[in-house]
Amino acid sequence: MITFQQILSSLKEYFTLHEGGLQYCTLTFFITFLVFYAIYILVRRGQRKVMLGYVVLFSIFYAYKANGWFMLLLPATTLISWWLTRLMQKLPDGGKRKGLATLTVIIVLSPLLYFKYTNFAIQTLNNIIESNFAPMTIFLPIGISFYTFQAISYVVDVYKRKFPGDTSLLEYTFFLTFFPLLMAGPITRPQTLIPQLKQNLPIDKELIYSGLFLIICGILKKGVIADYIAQYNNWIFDDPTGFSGFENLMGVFGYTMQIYCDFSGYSDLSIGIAAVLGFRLLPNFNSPYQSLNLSEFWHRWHIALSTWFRDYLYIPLGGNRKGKFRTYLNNFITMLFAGWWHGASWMFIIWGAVHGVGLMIHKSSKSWLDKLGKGAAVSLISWIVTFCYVAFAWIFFRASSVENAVEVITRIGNDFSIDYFVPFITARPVWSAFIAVAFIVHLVVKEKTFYRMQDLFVKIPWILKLLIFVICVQLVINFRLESVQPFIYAQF
Amino acid sequence: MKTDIKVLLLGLTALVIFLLYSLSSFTIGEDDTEIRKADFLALATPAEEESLVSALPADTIHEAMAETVFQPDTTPKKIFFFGDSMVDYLGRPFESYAAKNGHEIESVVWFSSTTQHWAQTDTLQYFLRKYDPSYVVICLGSNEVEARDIKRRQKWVEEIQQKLGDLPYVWVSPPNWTEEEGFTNMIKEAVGADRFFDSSHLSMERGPDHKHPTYEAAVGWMDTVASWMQSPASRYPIIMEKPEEKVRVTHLLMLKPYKLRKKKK
Repeated sequence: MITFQQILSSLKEYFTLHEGGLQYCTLTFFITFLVFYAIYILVRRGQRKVMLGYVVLFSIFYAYKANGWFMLLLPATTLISWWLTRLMQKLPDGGKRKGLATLTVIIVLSPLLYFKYTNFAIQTLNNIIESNFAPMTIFLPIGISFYTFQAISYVVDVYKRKFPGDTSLLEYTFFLTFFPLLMAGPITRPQTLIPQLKQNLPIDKELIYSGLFLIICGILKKGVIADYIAQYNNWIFDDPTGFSGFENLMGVFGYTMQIYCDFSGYSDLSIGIAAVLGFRLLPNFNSPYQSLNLSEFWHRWHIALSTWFRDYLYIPLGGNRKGKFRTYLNNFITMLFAGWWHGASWMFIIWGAVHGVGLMIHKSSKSWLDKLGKGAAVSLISWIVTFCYVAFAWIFFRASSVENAVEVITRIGNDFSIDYFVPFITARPVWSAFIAVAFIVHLVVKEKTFYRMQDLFVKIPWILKLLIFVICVQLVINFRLESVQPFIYAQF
Repeated sequence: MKTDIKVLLLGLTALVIFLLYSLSSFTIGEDDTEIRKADFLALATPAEEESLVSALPADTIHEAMAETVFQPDTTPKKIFFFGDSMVDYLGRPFESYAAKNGHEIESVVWFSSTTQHWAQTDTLQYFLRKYDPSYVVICLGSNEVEARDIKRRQKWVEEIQQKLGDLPYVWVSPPNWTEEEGFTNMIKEAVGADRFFDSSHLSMERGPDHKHPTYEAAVGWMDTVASWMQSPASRYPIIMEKPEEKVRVTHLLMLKPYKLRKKKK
């Protein structure tokens, strides 16, 4: 029996502890959000500024739960970037304006460089000059990569006069701290969110229920599929030599689906929560594994990030305006930085380089490829090549080291036997079923079908929505506790 | 009614459904088809208390024993050693230890077994009747170390404990080469720190299958386990001096994996 004292201690713990933050697919977040939402409904009907202030306060608390007192970096970044941008936008075009914009970007970028890349720099230096500098104990604040990029897009867009710099401090703070975007984006442009903060938007039934639909999709992708299939994929990448080539290949395909379900599920949840609150954000994924080439893949995968790099790095580098060679080089450099953005490790840079090379190959052979036409056979081959290349690149993204990645590839190459197929699916039927269903749904459901399903969900009765929601959450509860069989040696 | 209020009501209704089911005494379905309950109780259990539970026994025992001159029980024991495939590795050097120290030993390896197998079948009772041991050693968990349904497995650990009754026993955890979700800690808390040998911190060479240690590494593992078994850190310290030579393994019974045996029927 729980005592009153225990409940008080738990509440105290809830408000003071800040390990890892409020993860979406948890009971704690569910309850917290319902309390927040109940008050939000009341506040929303009042003054716009009060609503904005309320969401900002909750977002700061959310940031505190994720980062403890390191969350102070967030309001600090907000204040500095807002104030400097305000100064900059009053200046006429010229050196001073450009200088101040550059300075603001550098200041905004500095915490990210320090917290995320200092140890990477130390280790790289140690490797190059064979020194022995000890790595520093540095806490990496959750979400810093995302809000830093949002702040940069605001500064640059105001500098380029693509966005007016008349945003109030409250609106800007909301834009940078908005809690659904805080942990893992999607990186939202000022043009998308800030105009929605300037007026009292009517309660849009379609938007709110579409948001609920996205939340349900996100729960299924992140809380059920990704978290469950991750167990097996982790064993493979922890110790690829302990498994056969077939099992390693399944681990690679498993991870390919896991990272999609994890990240796009998270994006669905973020966009869905924002929609339930009345804010319309842009989609971040569009069935990326349906792509027939690598350029198309990057138009469908993590759209917020790829368009950010396109607008703030690729185009400033010259884009495709300076000849073919520079176009390929700019693509490659952009992908290197995109890889590096994901984490301070050479593995992410290698992943970016693999994609950079792939994009260069695709762009250089595009005229030749176009001559092949768009028949079913060409499409099928294009899809297979693209999918396998993307899956191959994920090995470097997931592996802990180059040796680890090479081991996975070697096992697949040297120890592959289709004889493992039946024992594999017999030993891990649920895992295999999840992967099969996830791939089939991903490949079959087109954009139009998805929006049709969304529209249908908006129209069905409330009780049916409740039933679907309860079933999905129950699936999370059940599969969160379900384990995949670790070893199948008993089957041989 | 406005849409946002309807969505709030939907969330609240769902929450109430999960809460009522969580607090109810019944469970829908069982085992693989069970509709599991959301863990609302965990929300009301402060983490500080949990950490105290696991930390307390080991510390107090060391303090209590530090000032006394310690002697393990030197009377010969009838040891029953059972568990999963790890017993195949640990059981071999264990026989040499038993021979050196005057103990009798019977080891039973049930390949691929988990706590569920030993809890929900009468295999354990059968061997307890057959061998009538005075001391039990368990090495079980390597097939479920990454398990996430910790509470469900805790029940099976408790069922095994009930079957053992008042018999002195110790539980040797499997070597843990991957990240886990708290399975090892659960067993430690269930049996008590002084009846639990934690192998997860040991560094052992892995065998060719990468799931088990090499037989050579298992000898070193056994040396560490034996040293703990006769130390004051163990609740039932028995004499376990290191043998000078190996004996032939004659008391190691191997049971086939449960699923394969079922298929053959």
